[in-house]
Parts: sequence; C-alpha cells; structure tokens
Amino acid sequence: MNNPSTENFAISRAALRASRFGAMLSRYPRALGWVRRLMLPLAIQDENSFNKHFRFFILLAGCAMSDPKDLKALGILSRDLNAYMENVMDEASDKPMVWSEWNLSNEILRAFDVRQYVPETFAIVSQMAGSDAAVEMIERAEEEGMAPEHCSAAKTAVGALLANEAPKPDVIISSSHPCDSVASSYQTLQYMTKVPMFVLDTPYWDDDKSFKHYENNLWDLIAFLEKHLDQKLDWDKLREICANVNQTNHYLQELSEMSRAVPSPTSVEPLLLSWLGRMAAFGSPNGMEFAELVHANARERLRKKRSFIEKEKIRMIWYDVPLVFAPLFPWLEKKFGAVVVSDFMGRIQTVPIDTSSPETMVRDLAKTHLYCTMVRHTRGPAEFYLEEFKKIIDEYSGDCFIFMGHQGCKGGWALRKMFRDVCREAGLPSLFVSSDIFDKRHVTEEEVKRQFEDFFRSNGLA
Amino acid sequence: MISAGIDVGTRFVKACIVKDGEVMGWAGQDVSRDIDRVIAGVYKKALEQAGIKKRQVKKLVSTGYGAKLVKKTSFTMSSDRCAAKGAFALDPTIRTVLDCGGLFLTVTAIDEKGVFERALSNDKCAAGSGKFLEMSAQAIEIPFSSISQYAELSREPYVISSNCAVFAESEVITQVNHGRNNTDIIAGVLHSIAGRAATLFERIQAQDNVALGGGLAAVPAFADRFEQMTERKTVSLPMPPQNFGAFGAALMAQQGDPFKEGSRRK
Repeated sequence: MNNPSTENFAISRAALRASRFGAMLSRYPRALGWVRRLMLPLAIQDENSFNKHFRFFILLAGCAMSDPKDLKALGILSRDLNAYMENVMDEASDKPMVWSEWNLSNEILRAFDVRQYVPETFAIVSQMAGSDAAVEMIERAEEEGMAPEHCSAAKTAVGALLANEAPKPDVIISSSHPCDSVASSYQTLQYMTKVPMFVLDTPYWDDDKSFKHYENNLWDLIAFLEKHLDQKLDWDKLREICANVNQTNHYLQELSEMSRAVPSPTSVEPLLLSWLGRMAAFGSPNGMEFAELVHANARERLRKKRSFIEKEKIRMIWYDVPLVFAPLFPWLEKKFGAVVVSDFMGRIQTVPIDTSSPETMVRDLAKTHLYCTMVRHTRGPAEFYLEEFKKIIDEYSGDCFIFMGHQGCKGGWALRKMFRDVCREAGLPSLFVSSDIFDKRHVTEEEVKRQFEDFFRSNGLA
Repeated sequence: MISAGIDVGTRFVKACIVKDGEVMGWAGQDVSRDIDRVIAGVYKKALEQAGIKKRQVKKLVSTGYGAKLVKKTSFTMSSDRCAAKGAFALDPTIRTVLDCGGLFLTVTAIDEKGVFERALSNDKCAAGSGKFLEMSAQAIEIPFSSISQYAELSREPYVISSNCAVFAESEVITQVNHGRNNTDIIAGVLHSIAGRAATLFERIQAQDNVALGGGLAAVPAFADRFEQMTERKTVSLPMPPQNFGAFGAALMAQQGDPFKEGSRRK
C-alpha cells in the first residue's frame, strides 16, 4: 500500500528541522524576536516559491506574540513537540505505536510505555513544507477513493499513510466525535492498517448518565490497551499526569478569562499553541511550565494594563481559528490592530481531576474529555455552541465575530444562520468566510484578506 | 468632513463628493483607453461641481472593477458593499440592492441597520450585463437611449438561447439576417438580462424594499421586466442609479473611529 519510491517521513523531517530551529532560537528570546521581526514582512505576504518553506515557521514563532518572555515559553513547549515528532519517526524503537484521534485527550495513553501519533496533526505539520504538501496528501487520499466531501484533516491523515509519512501502528484509538467525517476516516485507516481499533462512544448530553457512560468507555479502553499492548497502566504515572493537567488547565483557564480585559493582555494564540501541543505536551512538565509562563506574562501585562499586541484597535471573536492561515494574524495585527480575544478552539472550560484514587481519576477524566475543545461543542445539540457563544459576546467586549468555516465541517456550516441571528440580536458585526483549514485550493489568502478589509471598513472598524 | 468616492466600473467612471453625508457634486464619464486621464477628469469635474479644491477632500475611497487604478486612494472597497451603503443612506427601508453594471449583475442583501449581509454576482459571463445590451443595440442599430421605446413596440419578443455574450451577439446578428424585427430582438435581450437578474434575486431570498442601481437601472424597460418577473416593485431613489457605488464609497470614507461613541466595549 505504501509507495516504496517515497522516502519515509520526508515532510516530517523538514518540519522537525524547522521546529528544532525555532526551539534553538527560543533559548535566546530576544534573538527570536528579531528574527520574527525581520521575517515578518516576507511571511505575511501571500505564499510564493521563495517564502513557502519558512512562512509557516511564523506559527512556531508565536504568530503575533512579540513579548520575548512569551517566546521563551514557546521554546519550552516546542521541546515536547520536537520529542513527539522524533518519537513518531523513530522506526528503531521497540515501544508499541498507538494512533490516537486528535479530539481525544491522551492522559491514559501517556501512562503506558508507548509511542503515540495523532494522524490529523500531519495536516498542520505538513504546512511547514508549504501549503502544497497538504494538498498533495489530500489529492493522494482522493485518488485512493476518499470522497472529496471528507474533512481535509481526515484526508491528510490518510494521505500521510499512503506517502510513508505515518508510522506503522499497533493499535488505533478513535471516537464517535467530532463528526461523521473523522469517525468514518478512522474506519478507512483501520481498513488500511489492519490493526485493532477501539472506538469511544461519545454521549450526546451533559448529564450524570452520559458522564457515567463515557467513564465506562474509559475503563473499557484501559482494558483494551492492557490486553493489546501487553502492559499494565501505571497508575502512579497517571496520577502525576493528572496533577499536571489540573495545574495546566488552571493556568490556561485563567488565561482565557484574562482576555476579557480591555486591552487584552493575551490572545488565543498561546491557547491555540497549547492545544496544538496537547498531543505532545498535555500533562507533561514542559506543557505545564509553558502554561505557567504565558499565564504569568499575561498577568503582568494585565497588572500594567498593557495589551498583547502593540496597539489594540479591534477585538475579534472567532468561531474556529484556522491554524493554516497563521500568517493572517500578524497581518491583522499589523494592518488593523486586530486581536483575537476568544474562540471556540483555544478556549479552556473544564473541571479538575480528583487524583485520590484510580476510580476518581477515571471518573473525572471522563468529564475533562467531554469538556475538551470541539468535544464539548460538537457532540450535542446546537445549543452547546450557542449558549457558550452568547456568554462570550456578553463577557469579552468583542467588536466583531469571524466565522471562517471549514469545508468538511458540515455541523459548523449548519450553525451559520444561528450564529448570524445571535450576532444580529447582539448588534455584533459578523463576517462569514467560506474556507478550508488545510486545503488552500478552496480560497486564496488574498481573497480572505480582501474580505477582511471590506468587512472592517464597511463596519467602521478600520 | 468632505470625502470623495470614485467608482471605476467596466463601462463608466463615476465620482461623488460628499460633505457630512450630503452630496456636493458628482460626475461620470465613459471608460476609454487612457484610464488615468478619465479618472482624473471625472474627479476634477465632480470637484468643480461641488465648488471645492482637491486639498479640501479629507479622504478618498475607490471602488468598482478598477478600484486599484485610482491613485492616492485611502483604501479600496468592493462595489457590492458600496452600492448597498449608498442605497441605504438614500432610503433606510432598502433591504436589497440589485446593481446592474456594465459587466456584472450583483444583488446585495442588507439588514435593518444597513449592515451588509451577503452578495451574489453573475460570475465570469457578460451575457447578463449592460455591455451585452449595448452590443446588441449596436448590432441592430438602435441608440442606447431609445432601447425602452423600441422594446415597448415589440409584439413577440425573441428568446435568446445563448448563455455567452459572444455567442448571443452572433445569434442576434443571425436573427437580423433572418429578417426578425429589431424591436423583438431588443425586447428579447432585455428579457434575457432581467431573467438572470431575477434568478440571482431569488437565490438571495431578497427582502423588500428593493433598489435598482447601475447603468441598466436607467433603462425603464429593463426595470419593468424585472418587476414583472419578480412580482416586486422597486423603489426609485433621489440619485441616478449609476452613482450609488461612488456615493457609498464616499460615505465609507466618512466613517469615523467607531470606538469614540457607541462602543461595545465595557
């Protein structure tokens, strides 16, 4: 099935080199700040053959982050990201390889002695080799018979397997959320890899019965992993991980709340990066240190009433910040003084985990999983999204709402009118952009920028 | 504050000078090869009509197909938003604006506060545009200003079957050679364009009231056919319909700092 003519992990290795370079520079945050400053004019231009190989680096260099202290925090996070990528590519390792869907929180998996790979993250990693790389993966998946209507992240995951960019799995863990597209893509991945797969059944509602159902799922998952990995779960390790998760969540949740201040001492970017780092760093000491540091920096800015970006003019509330359009953020900041104060992807809303016994840990892990980004929104009725959205509008003093819809996300598009009506009721100007988070063919960055300019100006925001 | 809006369309360039929301002067001219000179000339005429000097204009905003050709513009803005802004400023009951220009038909929906909601446009093909009507009128030797009179005399409007303006022009010439009456041909062309406009209009689920903008709106026979097809009455506004875009652009330039008053911030 794999193409023998393709070098294994060619794109991943290029991404790792860029990430290592970023991590090395972040040891000298001021130097990284200068590199960012010098590269920014080239990076925020539309992609061309010259800038395509380093343009996405701007994401690793913290998007619009400019405070050297934040850049230092980023370096701490990138240590774990690098370790994750090295582990994925370590073909000599005798540790079992577990694939885990990106909406799952992997504390339990981390308490086993395994390597892990999150297939959808390749859609982000591949952007380091230019946006063409993701498109190539998507096309490979489509050529093999995946429907064009599938989510591009799911197609990239399949494409990566075909292009020898994914490690060989021993076990796969998937779930019934966030959408049919992702759930069905895991059936394809299992069909292609022929390894055992465990599917978590995500409940619809937020009640005790639903939490109990998911808790039982987690016990079944532990039994499944112990059987197929021939290992026992290390409960002491899980306790340590859960304690770190509690601390990390505390910092990130406070960080989400700090954006309510005007001017905002932070933006969703550290939150998004922590979300990106979740697959590698959530519950790790580095992940916790990153959260602690960005929290302390934001707190310091809040005390001094300093804004996250140089001059805050427009406060944006986003539906779903597209990571692949990362160079859009420095552009928005530079041209309009626009900062993202809240979005559904980065926002942390969760509960602490009681680490006193295995039973309490699994019970609370079930809740934290169901409160994770995307999971808490997409598994139930539209009201889960809308009630949170109304709260954000009420609390975050946003000047506008941006909905950059993702083509594969049918559930998201179904909400469009409801979001629009909530905005109209609140008198909040809204922009709806039809895009694809990972597939640049759908809409060009130039067109997206044009729409932003028109929107800000016609609503008197710029 | 005095501001200016320049709408560089595919057939005409229009300029409008506005002071505190009121029109001071406007001008328009055909597009020709030396577009820079045309833009400068139109702007100069509008300034003369307003009785002011260029230096008194605080902000200039350009719009339309050739918006980027305007030098020293503060910013450019899409024509659908500008036409909607202009029409709403003239009549706040307007919810839908159909802009029928030289090359594009665009229908724009706005809410009760005048906020842009969405727009739809005829992509790529000029068959549903003013240029197509102009080409057809030339082919059958009818002056553009007399199109409505000729169309009114038609007994059996010809049904244009081609979707492409180039093929449709050939079809018109073929019909002339077959001896078809030119009143029936021009009525058929108007019917075809109004049909395309009505399709866009239905797709956007247009709300009342409706304003017609652009050069085609000045052709009464087109407006009549459009009203018949959609079973809606259009509202006539106190400004030549070609000027909504330039007027809207000038109004966009007048928008102040939104955070000085009425801010949502707490």
